[in-house]
Amino acid sequence: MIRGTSLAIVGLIALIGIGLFHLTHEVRELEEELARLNRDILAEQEAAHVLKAEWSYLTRPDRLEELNLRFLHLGDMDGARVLSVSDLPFRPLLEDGPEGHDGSVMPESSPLPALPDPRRGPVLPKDKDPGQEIRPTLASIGVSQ
Amino acid sequence: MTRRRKTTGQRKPLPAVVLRHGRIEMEGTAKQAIETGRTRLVIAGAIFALAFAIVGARLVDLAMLTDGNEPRIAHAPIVEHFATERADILDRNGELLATSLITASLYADPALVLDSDEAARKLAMVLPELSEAAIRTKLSAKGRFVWLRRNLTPRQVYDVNRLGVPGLAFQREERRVYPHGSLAAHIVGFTNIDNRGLAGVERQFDDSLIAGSKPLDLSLDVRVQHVLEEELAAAQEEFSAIGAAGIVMDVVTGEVLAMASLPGFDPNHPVAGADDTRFNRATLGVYEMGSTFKIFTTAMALDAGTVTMRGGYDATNPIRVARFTINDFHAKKRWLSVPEIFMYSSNIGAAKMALDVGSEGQQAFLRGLGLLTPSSIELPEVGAPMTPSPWREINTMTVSFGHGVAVSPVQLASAVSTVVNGGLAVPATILKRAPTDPIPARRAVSAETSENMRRLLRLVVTEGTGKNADAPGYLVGGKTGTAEKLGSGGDYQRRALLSSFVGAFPMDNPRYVVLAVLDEPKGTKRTHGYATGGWVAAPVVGKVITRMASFIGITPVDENAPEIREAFAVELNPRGTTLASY
Repeated sequence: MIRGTSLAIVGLIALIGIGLFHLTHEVRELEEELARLNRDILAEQEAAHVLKAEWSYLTRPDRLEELNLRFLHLGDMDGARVLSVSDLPFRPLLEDGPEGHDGSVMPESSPLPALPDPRRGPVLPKDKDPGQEIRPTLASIGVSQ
Repeated sequence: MTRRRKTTGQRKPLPAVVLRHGRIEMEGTAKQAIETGRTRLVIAGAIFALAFAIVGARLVDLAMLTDGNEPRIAHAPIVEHFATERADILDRNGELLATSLITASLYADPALVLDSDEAARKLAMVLPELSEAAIRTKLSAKGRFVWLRRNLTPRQVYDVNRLGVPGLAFQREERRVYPHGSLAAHIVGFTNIDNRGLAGVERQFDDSLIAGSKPLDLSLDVRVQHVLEEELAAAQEEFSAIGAAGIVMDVVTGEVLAMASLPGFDPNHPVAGADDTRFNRATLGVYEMGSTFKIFTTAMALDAGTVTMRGGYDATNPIRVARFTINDFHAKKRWLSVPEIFMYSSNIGAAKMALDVGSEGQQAFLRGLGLLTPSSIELPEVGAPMTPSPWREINTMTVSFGHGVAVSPVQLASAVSTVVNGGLAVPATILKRAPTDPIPARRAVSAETSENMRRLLRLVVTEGTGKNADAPGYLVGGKTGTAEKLGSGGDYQRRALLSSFVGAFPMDNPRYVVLAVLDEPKGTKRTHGYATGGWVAAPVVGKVITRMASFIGITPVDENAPEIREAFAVELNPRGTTLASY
């Protein structure tokens, strides 16, 4: 009986010991992973910091202006090009006819407001797909689609 | 049981042992000794049992029960955040103006370098700016540490690592970087190799930049700054000016949106340019501003009530005082109303206006506008104004049209802000003000005078010398200034001019003051040889306003609308035929 009890206790101790060892090992592994993740976060933060500086360098107003001159050709915006919402022609309601829905025909009942002064600059075509213009531009600066 | 059996075994040879009813009993002294021993054993056993019980209970307590102040969930130690030794500097929209980047500096331990000839040849290949011979000398040196090159780019670090030369290593260092280069360089400033601020905001806020990781928000807007610098540079080149300065200031908050001083420098390489490129003409330079001071003279006279908008002075004859003669550049040789004096920039009229107010009143008024004390802007480079001492009658007259008193451009911009914003003096600041921050304003000019001055400033652009500053739709108002610079001998030089224009817009509710100053511009064919403020500086202001208004969010108005024309109507000549203008 004594042998039995002792064996049981020794066995229990061994079992607990193994369990404890396993737990310690797991905790250590998790701690290592945590430290690694923290190191990674720090490295990512540092990388983000460098990227921010680079972004700021790449979005310098003089560089943007130069890119605009090369690809967009947008001119200075003077006051005559700015209109308020009330100056805009409204899209006709759906009941006015199917033609009105796509905006191609304006019903006679609502005449177009007077167009702005022609010196106010060109009016952009409405229905043009902007992508058509952008694609060759992107290709020309070497962006692969 | 065990103990008793053992005892029996030990006590066997003793005679006093009697076996009774199957139990061993002892007699006499022997029994007493045994009893004593047994009692002691029991006590000792009890003590040990108690001790083990306590240890056991504590084990259970530690292992299975949780303490009250113990957290239920385990927390990792606080994660370190990436922080540089010196905080960033941002513009008002969060654009990075100055930051610190981690760089690597290459050093070598010559004792570990196996083949210094080969190492030098390889290194010179990836770092072409170093000479092979110099590297070889360093690598064959006796010591254990030698710098090869400071602050390498990541690309260069990669290249050096790829060589696989033993004995080379990198030291982590921090380097101050200004992504926008020369843009706003005079305001941002720069640091030395140890990252201590030497100029501009870097120096003014050196301690807080080092102490805190929170970035410093400036009031600058890089877009406006770029527009201002570009237009100033274009004018500087066109008119071969030796320098230029410009300011865009919010008239309500006193925030500086842009401040430029040309020629500029690159804060990434501050010592590369000439010494005078680091001079901030906008805050440190003080200049006799010329006719722009008539804004203050007119406002002063209207405020003091010595003359009204319908009043005027006789400007037929020049004023002769002592050895000086005060004359008009655009002489009309007749009686001029206050709007006419302002519009034609009559020195005679301004001098007479100032004389009526008096020297004391003039000084008090200019002091109220902050023109006699250094600007409170948060930069280390702030110039003190030069004022006449003693302030005689002749000084009162010359100061009325901006001679004999020298102020910095930032002081002028602040004072004009006060005149047009309804009359409140607001200290100029380079730091962004939160919308909730109270603005430390102090009344310096009455609201009525401010309104009249807006009309007069608008008149100069629609009818007078400032037509070139017009930006259609934005109701620009302003005043030209052309001052002859003092030569080395103390006399005024006809050829060396300081031409300026100070404008504000939109005049129905002014938001921004724009100032452009050109130092020694020369007239061109296009300007018919003129290098005056109206010809060289006014167009800069007009262009800056046109370009900045759209992205700063100012809605253009129809300037020919009847209500606008009426708001700016000024009776030009109440004595002559009724000539109503706008």
